[in-house]
Amino acid sequence: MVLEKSGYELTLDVLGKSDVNALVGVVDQALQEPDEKFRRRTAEFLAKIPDAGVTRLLLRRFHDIGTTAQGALVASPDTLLEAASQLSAVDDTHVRANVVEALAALGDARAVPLMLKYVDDPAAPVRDRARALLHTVSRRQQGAPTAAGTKARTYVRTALNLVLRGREITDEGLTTIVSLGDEGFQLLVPFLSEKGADGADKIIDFLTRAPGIDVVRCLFYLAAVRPEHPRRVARDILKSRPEGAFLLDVARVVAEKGVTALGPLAATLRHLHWQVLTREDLAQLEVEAQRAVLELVRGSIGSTSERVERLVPLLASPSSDIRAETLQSLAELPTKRIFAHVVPLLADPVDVIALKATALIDVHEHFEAFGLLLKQLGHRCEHVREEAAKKLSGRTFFLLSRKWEGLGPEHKRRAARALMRIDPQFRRQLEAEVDSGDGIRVLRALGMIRQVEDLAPFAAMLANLTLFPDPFVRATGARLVGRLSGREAVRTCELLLGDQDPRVLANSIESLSAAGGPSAAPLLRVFLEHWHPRVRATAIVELWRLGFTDVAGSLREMLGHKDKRARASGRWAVEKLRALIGTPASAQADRGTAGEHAEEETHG
Amino acid sequence: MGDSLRGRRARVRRATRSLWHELCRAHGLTFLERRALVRAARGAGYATPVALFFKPSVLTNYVRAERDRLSRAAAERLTRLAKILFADCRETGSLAEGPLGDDGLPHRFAPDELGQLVMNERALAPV
Repeated sequence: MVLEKSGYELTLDVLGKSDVNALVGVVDQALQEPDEKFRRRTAEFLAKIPDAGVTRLLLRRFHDIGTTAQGALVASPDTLLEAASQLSAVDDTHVRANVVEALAALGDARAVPLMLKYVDDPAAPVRDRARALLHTVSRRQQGAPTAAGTKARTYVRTALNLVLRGREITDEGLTTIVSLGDEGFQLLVPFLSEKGADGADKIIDFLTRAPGIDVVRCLFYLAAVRPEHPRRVARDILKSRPEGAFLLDVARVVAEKGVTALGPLAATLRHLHWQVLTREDLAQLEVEAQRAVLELVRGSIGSTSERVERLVPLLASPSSDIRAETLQSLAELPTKRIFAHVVPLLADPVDVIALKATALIDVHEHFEAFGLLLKQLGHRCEHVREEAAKKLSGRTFFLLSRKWEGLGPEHKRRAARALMRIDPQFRRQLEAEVDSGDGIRVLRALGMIRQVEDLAPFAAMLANLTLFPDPFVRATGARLVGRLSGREAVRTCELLLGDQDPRVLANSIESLSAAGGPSAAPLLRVFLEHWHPRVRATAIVELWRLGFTDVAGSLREMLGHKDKRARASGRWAVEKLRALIGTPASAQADRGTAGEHAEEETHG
Repeated sequence: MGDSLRGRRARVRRATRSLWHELCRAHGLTFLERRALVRAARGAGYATPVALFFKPSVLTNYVRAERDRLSRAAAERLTRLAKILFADCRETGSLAEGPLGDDGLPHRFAPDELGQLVMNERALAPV
């Protein structure tokens, strides 16, 4: 036979199927009933419901709910501790007293930090109860507490003893205390507040050498407490520990709290020895912590060189943002001594950083800077190239002249082309050099012009070189004219063909061939009869290049000439033609050509 | 956790309303009984009549306090409701203590009248 439920049992049955968490206000009415049995019956029912809101409700009425419900609550210590923690801020004295009661009933060492919140409670009953229960818990866990000292410190000693698991302050115990967080830290304050207090030296010694982020958190806590002595002790310890691992933990704690929330402690942290951090140390540090270090070092107190030293490790940060911001900070310092630290970042894989580093290179202070900037002119990023060119602008020719001989061909090419494009003064300075009349300077300028892609701006200047007294300069100019195009180039070549110097003539023949094409052939043929073999050989090669293979006879004649210089020039022409025709295999396929005959003659 | 205050209030309202309907249905309350509960809750200063399902002392206190203003039918109805809702709590003394006086009766009722109420079939055999 099934008995139907009725009365209050039926009400509880319906309640159990409802959203009890949302109904705690209604259910609380039942727990306030004057009838004790009724209250207990309701509480027993509620204690079976696994809900945080219901647990808090029962905890608030812990004293009134009866032993069965109390037992059910204590059987779930984690839930109870969480609910107690949430209720610790409640204003109601009755609730606080109930929470203390519940924590005492729990008898768990984890309840001690929570219970410590109530030992200074404004309500005397709560305070007294908390202290008494703390002693009870302590005795239960530890035996008789050490009750020496003032009454006000007794509870602290008791709790400390409880946590330390012993009668003395040991490293192990202090490690446990600092791992408790703020509740543990506050235990240390009374000891440190009185100079010469029992155990103060041991605590200071522990905080001075113990590793771990909890110690750092403890020092941060102590450095902000009201009593002056612990505050000073904590700040001194923070400033006196130069270990990299300690600083990494400091950075992490600063990142947790936020630099702006540090208040007066920020000034202390700026004194730390951030310069001891190595690249490997920083690699272990989270980006946020690195940013915290950067913020602290930025505003750090000390000489400029000290601040540079503190910033430099951050240049090796794996985070490109940190590297960029560090570079920016270095740039803002009034010092020129950052060159050596910035140089490695010129080749940074992140273009923005390479750009910032390039911007920091001072070409006037360091001779090496110029070479580095020239190298940056060949950087893959256009902005970096522009920045390098901007730094070089105005002094480019002067600086390039000083470094020119030491540069490789590729760098010469890149530098000259970039400067021509970016620095308008560069061309004017080159022209001025050519106009100087000094052979060495002119030749160096021509060497730079040779690297430039488009020689059109220099056409008039090259034409003027036909009258230069030094034949070597004229010859160099004649070679460059070949890279010009149009009638002006042909005209300049024609002028140069009136030169007496064979080198000038040879180069002019090559240039005319390039600029004039087949129409220049009649003029070139004149030089097949020139007295100088080099000129003849050059004419043969250029005519061949233009498609006039009938010059084979002239070549054969040269190769069989009685003058050894003529034969040497003939062989040179053969080599040039061989290169012109292509590989030896293709040359063989092209039998009957002048090249083949010439080769035979050479061997003969 | 994470509920906004407005969301939490709406949830409480929904849950309270739902519980009210469920409880009325479970206890088989008629329209007049429901209305009597609502009026009693309002008169006793409760925001919701659901609270009366969890407060055995309120109904009897209310009947006693308002005996001069309540009609006979209303008083009977409320007394009957108290018996229905807390039928299994009698031994706890909730209904015996206080409100109805030492003899457990409202002062306006004669003992025989109360006896009739107690013997009401609905009180003895709840739906």
